[in-house]
Amino acid sequence: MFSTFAKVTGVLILLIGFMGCGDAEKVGQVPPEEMLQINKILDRWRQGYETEDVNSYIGTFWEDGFLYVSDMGTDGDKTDDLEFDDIRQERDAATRVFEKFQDIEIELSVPPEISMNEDGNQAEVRNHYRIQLFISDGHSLEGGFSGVYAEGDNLFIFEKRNNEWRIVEWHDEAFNEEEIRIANNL
Amino acid sequence: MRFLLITSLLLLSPHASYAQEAENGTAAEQQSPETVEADNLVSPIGAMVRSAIFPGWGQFYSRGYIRGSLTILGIGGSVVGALLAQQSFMNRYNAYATYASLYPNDDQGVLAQYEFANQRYKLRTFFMYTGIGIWVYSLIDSYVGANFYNATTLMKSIEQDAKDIEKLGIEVGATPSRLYFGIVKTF
Repeated sequence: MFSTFAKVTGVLILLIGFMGCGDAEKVGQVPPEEMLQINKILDRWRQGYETEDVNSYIGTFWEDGFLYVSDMGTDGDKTDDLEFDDIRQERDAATRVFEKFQDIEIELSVPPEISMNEDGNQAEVRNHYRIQLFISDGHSLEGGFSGVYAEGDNLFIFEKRNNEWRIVEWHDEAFNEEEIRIANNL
Repeated sequence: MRFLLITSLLLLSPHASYAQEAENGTAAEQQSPETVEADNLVSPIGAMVRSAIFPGWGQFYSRGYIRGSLTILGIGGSVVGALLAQQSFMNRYNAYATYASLYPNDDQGVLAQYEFANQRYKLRTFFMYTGIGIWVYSLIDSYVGANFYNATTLMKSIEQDAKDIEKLGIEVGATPSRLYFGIVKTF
């Protein structure tokens, strides 16, 4: 009788112990606080570009350590890669785009793939983007087109500084025309 | 014990004549504890190693068929439960991540989604640790079970020997031509 009672009690203690498991930190997963902040920055990045609000857009990046790299749609060819590490260059580039185009539409894949480092202060965020830019009045494009369509994969490196997340690196892996056709079954 | 008794009887009856023994006794009845050990006993370490390789094997090896089956069922159930919980967790986690990217300003909603996913994470962890617990328990159980099995086997052998000895008797008699003193074994 006593041994049965002892066994049942032991099993119950083990069960209670096991049920308590699961609150431990999950490596490779993003806690809700970080998930929210990163997604808010991504949302602000998209909205800033769509609404052509250059300050809001630039405010999603860290100035210190900033890096932008675009493979210009040729991922096998490094010679034509566009790269700059000064935030002012990104501001100038965005300003030029906003002057030339109106009605910018950006579509980002959800959910983005987010992986954080063990220290929890850096995150790699990957998503797929589609962007349409329509030409503003008084501007023109070669070939008489009225707009531009681009598609590709983004890799953002987010960093948490002073309890705030922002983008520090942006790697743009743009699709070429052939890849766009394949991706959209055209 | 049996050896001592027989030796003393033999010493006490140097002129004894032996009654006829049955020709076909059962093998177990004929075996000494040493023979039983060599033939029927199991290695506790061997049982533990078997359980480490495949949970339940050690129990089966030491003839604990029910315990072996329960171990297999327990660990199998834990593995299946953990896999299902993991699958469910991934679905819920994906829903949480999607919700967070679609509604980044709905803090409460995102937290609720996270908790919803975390429930499955806890369940998966529970099944995982339960499986590990059963496996570790089965290792110990196979070792202890093998020792119990060996002890029981030896005990049965000794009991059998005692019964055999009970059937032994001393017969003393005299005929006109001879006087005899012997050991009688009854079957």
